[in-house]
Amino acid sequence: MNEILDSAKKLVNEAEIFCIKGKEFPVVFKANRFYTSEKKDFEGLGIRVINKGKLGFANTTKVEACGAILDFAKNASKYGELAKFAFPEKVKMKPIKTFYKCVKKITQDEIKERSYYLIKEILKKEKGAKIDIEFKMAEWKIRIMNTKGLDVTYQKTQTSMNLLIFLVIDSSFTWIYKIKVSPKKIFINKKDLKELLKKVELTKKVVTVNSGTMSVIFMPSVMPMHLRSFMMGVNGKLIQKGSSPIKHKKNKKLLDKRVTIYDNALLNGGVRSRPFDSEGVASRRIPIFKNGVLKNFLFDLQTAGILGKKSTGSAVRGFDEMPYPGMSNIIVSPGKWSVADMVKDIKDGIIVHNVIGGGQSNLLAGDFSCNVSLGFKIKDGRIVGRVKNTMVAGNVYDAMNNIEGIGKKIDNIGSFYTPAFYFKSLNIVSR
Amino acid sequence: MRENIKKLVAKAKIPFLEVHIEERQGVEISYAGKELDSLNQYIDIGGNVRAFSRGVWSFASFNDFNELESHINFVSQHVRIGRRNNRGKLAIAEPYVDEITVKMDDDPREIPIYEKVKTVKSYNSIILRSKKIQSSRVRYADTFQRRFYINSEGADIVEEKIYCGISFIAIAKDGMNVQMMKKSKGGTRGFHTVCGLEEDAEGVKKDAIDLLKAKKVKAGMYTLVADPVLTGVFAHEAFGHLSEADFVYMNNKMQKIMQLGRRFGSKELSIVDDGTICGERGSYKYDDEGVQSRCNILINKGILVGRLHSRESAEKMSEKPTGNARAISYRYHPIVRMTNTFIKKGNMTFNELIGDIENGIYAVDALGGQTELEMFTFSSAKAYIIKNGRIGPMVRDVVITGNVFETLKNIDGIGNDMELHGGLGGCGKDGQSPLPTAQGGPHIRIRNVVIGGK
Repeated sequence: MNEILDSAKKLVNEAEIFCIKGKEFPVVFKANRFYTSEKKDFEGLGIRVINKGKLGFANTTKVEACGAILDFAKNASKYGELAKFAFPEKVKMKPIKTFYKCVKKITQDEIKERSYYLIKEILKKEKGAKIDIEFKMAEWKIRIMNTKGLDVTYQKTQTSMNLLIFLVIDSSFTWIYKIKVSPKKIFINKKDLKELLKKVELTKKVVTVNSGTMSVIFMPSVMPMHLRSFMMGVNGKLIQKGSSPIKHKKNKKLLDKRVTIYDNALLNGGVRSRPFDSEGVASRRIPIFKNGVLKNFLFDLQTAGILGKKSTGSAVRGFDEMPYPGMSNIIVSPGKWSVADMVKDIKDGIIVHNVIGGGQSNLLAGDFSCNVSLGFKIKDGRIVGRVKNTMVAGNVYDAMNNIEGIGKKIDNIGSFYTPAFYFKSLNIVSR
Repeated sequence: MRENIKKLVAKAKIPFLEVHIEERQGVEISYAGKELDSLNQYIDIGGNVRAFSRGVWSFASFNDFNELESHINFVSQHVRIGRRNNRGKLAIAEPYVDEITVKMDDDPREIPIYEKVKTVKSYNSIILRSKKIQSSRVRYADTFQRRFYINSEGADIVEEKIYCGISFIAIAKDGMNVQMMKKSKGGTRGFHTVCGLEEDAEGVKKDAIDLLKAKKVKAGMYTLVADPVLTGVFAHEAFGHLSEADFVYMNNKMQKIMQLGRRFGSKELSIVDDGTICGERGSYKYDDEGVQSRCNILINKGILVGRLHSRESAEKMSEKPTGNARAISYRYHPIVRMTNTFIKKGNMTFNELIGDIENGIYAVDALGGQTELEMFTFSSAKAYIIKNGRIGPMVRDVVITGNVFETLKNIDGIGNDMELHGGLGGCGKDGQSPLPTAQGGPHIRIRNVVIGGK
């Protein structure tokens, strides 16, 4: 790697190498049976250069091809954007654990034993169910070097388990699933199983719901769709390009005062925790919304440079792309409600567990309009059955000013850590 | 290297073993707003080995070829452990020995970078030429791909492909009101695919600006006329995924629902997946199991007559492989995927389709689509009210949802036009995205469609 940087010094003014190398081990069960066990080795390298003040980039999976790649990057810099930053010389980082040895000790036998147990227990209750399970463990190493002398590394582990129950009830399809992910060793456990089986039981009775406005509970599993709109709104790139609808709203109260959201790359055990970002800028805990007030945007070096701000340590990237501002772990502060109390409180409404089509609306503007793929009707404080052919629509900036209650328990949905939200009234369309 | 691989494959004591080696190189150029956002040139080389025995697979992907033997040992060992108590075979496939190289007059690899940048920049400035446009994104990509396939049955195939395409996004803004329009073109025909698209860039700009003034659609049930792009999204998302047999074969109840011979729609409705159409984005000669692509009729005159297979799913259902086992890259194992999927054209003119609609929606182009097999939802990029048989004002936020079986039956008008769209993106399934596909058809009319909105 040092040799590449040395040849870069001769060719261009400044250069940075971002390198990732790792392994992933997926184990898959399909339709109740063991199906495949895999191993994926991966490595890749991206070279970013500043030449004559302009940015260039190229990437490869073949370290031997680096000579050609360096030329590509130099050539690209002829057309590149003006670099509004300098590569960092060093990083003052806070220690954060990202590598867990216990992940490396997970055996195929343990994965199979746990998976067969889950399949057996589900089949006991639901003979016709088809269960797919995917367990993955991965470890990788990130290294960032630049011609200013920076050379930093961290290692990361991750496990994830997806379980999908597929049922055909009265020739109508039903999917019920659970996804767990963590840098530590994680499995779908007995408690998760109990919740899944409860959902299976509830889906058996399909009820109709009338179109109109009504109270809606969004379970944590649905919240990332809404939070993504906010994350787009505070993304430094969209701020810089002027397309964010909340570009001029810093320090303004935009949401209900109970809403507080942090971007925290230093979260202990967080899915996206890391000591520094993809450019070697130290990670920190960034308030996005505090008591409903917009506090910060997320910047990488270039977007911050263009706008005369400082990087928030929010650069994200794969080896095959230039860095851009993005989120790490998104943490939403909990409220005071239990989901059971929310249900009890509702006279007419629905509780939504899964949606499809969440990403298709005008997310940037905060609009959502999605099909409730798993949701239940609430009547006089009780869940009475599953709803089908139903859509829920609205705008997340409006909805977040229309909150009845926020859940007290936080669930981790990928890198989102969020409670359930109970909205007074949202549009429901059904037939 | 190929001789060496063949020797290693012959040595392994496993009923079925295959090796893929893939080289990719390409250029991606993207303008966002006034600036060149990224220009990325790359070389990607990697491979995988896959073993099968008694219904169980093992797979290993890698970038380092020096350890090929250890990867073969890994899959051999894991497939041996896994196969206990299992059964299963692969459908017979002819082991082809073939070499397909691409030759074209305007090979994107031969076009200098500055010309590609110039092309992207010129479209971008068309989109930005209005004060109401807040931002733009024009993305160009070309990929050259050479894939080697060798298996223990004697197949030895090299297939080269070249993809080239461009996408336009215009973002118009008025206060908190932000509207977006997009369009993309792509295929395997060469660099001219992305030339002469000034009108498309103008159209995207105009639509984004018009959407600022468009009212949100009123939620409810409508008669919907879909343009060819949206028809394609419906054919692909709502129906196509149900035809992928890798899900069907494991599930008895699904097999009953997807039984060949069952009526799915009116006599006018035929749906086809054809991987052999020259120049389309979803076309190829061999799939990633070395099976030749072909034209697969899925629905013929309303009756389900076929489905898409890998060698594994074909064997399980006692049908023939259809050449639809595809992987997005060497990092993934092949799964059953579509190629170019479309509804066949009918005989109604556009005016006949909308003529008797009192209150309907004409939905054009798609922002996206998603399906959970039975239920689908997709959103049109723009739409117009149809009032008393005439096209009226533009509306926005048209998100269509429904049950695929009911919706197929509710298609009661099929236009006499036909378009296929490739674009730059592609299909996503089981974490593999984007896979190059094309989709399309004529204008179609669907009764009783639920549209979410205001």
